[in-house]
Amino acid sequence: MYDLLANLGQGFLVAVSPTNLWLCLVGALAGTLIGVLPGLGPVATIAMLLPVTFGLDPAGGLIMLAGIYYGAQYGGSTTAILLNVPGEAASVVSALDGHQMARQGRAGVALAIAAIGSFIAGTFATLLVAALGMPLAQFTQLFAPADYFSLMILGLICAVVLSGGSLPKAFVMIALGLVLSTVGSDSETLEQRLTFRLPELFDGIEFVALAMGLFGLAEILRNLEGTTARQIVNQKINRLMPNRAEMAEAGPAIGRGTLLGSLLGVLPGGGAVLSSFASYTLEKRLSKTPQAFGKGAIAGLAGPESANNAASQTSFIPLLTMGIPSNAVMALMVGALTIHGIVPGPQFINTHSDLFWGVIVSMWIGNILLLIINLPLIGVWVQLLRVPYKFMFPAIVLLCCIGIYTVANSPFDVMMTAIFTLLGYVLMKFGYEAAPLLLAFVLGPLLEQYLRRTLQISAGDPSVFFTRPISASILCLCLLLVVIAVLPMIGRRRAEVFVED
Amino acid sequence: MKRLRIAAPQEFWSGLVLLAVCAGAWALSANLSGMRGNQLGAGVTVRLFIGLLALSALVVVVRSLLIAGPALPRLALRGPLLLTAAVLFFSFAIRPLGLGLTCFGTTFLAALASREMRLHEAVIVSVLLTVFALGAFHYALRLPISPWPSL
Repeated sequence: MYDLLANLGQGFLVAVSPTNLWLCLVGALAGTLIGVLPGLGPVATIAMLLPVTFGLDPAGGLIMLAGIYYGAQYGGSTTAILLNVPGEAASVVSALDGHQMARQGRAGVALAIAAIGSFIAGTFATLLVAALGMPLAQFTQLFAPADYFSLMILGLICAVVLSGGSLPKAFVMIALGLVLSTVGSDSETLEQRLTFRLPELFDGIEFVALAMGLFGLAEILRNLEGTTARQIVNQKINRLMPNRAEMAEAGPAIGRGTLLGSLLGVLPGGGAVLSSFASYTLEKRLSKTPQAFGKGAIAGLAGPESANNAASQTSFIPLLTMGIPSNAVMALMVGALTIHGIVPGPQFINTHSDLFWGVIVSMWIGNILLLIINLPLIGVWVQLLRVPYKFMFPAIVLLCCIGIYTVANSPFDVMMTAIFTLLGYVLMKFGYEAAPLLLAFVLGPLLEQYLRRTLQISAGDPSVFFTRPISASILCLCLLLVVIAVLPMIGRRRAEVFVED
Repeated sequence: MKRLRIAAPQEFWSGLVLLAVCAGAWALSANLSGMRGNQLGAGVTVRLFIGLLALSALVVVVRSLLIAGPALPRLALRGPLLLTAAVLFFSFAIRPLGLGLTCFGTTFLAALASREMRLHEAVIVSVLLTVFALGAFHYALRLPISPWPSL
């Protein structure tokens, strides 16, 4: 306990330095600004704002990214509540009851409950991350390369099993991501792999170009296809603070959502989307008035909003302790860390302890900032939503181009982005989900590295994967998951949960 | 003999394209080193991953012959072509033309990607964004990008 407090204290010192506080604020604001735009979820937002953080020191960069993430998450909820246009899959659920509340003239209350629920959930989840980080990192010291390899396979399998649509298609996307990740010079033999002898590809495909093309710009193309005229809730937002009866209804739902979200966020492939859906189902089942759900039930908004915020926090646990991203957002975080020269993993807590604790504390500060800046700024976001999309997207395209170009001053990376935009669009049209691809792209080089080490240690004998207890049990779990998913009965029921986490 | 019917055209054709990609990638990676004793050569994982892709694409194709699925999607032309053109223009123009002209061209092409955009609106949006970009990135953030054409 004392250790925990001491560590959190160390984190506070890093996080509340004026620069980092400022970066957290700017990140949360920028994240909300982009995230509030319809159709842009956290993945797209982070992909777009990633280049901004590269010039910063690692702590500042990561803190800003965390701010962007929570901001984008909150912006998504705002859009969902006011416009009934969920910016990302996690806020699909918020749109159900939140938008109904807004149409009944309770938009202010809905937004406030979303913010309060998110804050409570964020506080709890932050403490959980702090408490579990150390022991988990110590536990993973027992892991050999073979165990890591199996764990990553588990992450990929989870992404497949939880993805919407057909299983083989999700497998295709994983495999495609893995193949793309091999492009470039081999790390040991320096042979050129799939580079078409282009010197620009010797360092591999630029992660930012891939992410921005597949998510940011391809998403714009999808939005352009529909009609972009929107209906906004036009009633004036007068009352913000929920009254006592409304708080009494929201309170227990916030508590349950927080616990459920914290739990589900740790699972590989889980995260915000899965937990908000699960929480909605739970609240509806527990409710005395389930018929009110979908018609403005406060519990149907408070539960999922808390759950998705708790989960987005706890999904940092596998990333920071084991170096394994559990969803597309965390994959982006790995990309960002790697660019800063940091390899997340069990050594991360010990070698970069100030960074680790600083980031954890700034998660919490980010949540406070969101509470402080967003409630007064609701009017601004509403005004922003009134700007027609057709005037908005050229700006997004331009910012993306400048962003990618400034990563390495490389026109080639911009060109790659154009290619990935087209690829993302075609994949989307043919019903292939891009999120597993991004995850596989990040995990690919790690998989290869651990496979190499394992075979070196075992003198080329691949049976270690099945004889080491940790690795064997993880692989059994993988097998179990695949079997469950392939059984058509259950397969048909798979909800679309890995859409855009 | 019963003619083979494609039950899910969307899956069938996308699977075939993926198989072609696999064949190409396999050919490209053919000369990479394989296993050398206990050492994983550069080509082993590449071919492993390509194999995985081919296998899953094959499953998609086979399934498409058996299980009914969606027809081929209608791909839009205007949006994707103009947006891609905008991004490509940026990549080719940024070095020779500098930030100003590049911003104008990129936003103008991108703006036209929307069916709802009128020509004069596109011009206004592009001019405003160019001014904003020059102000923000050249004067405020001082990015090392030349604002004017290099002659």
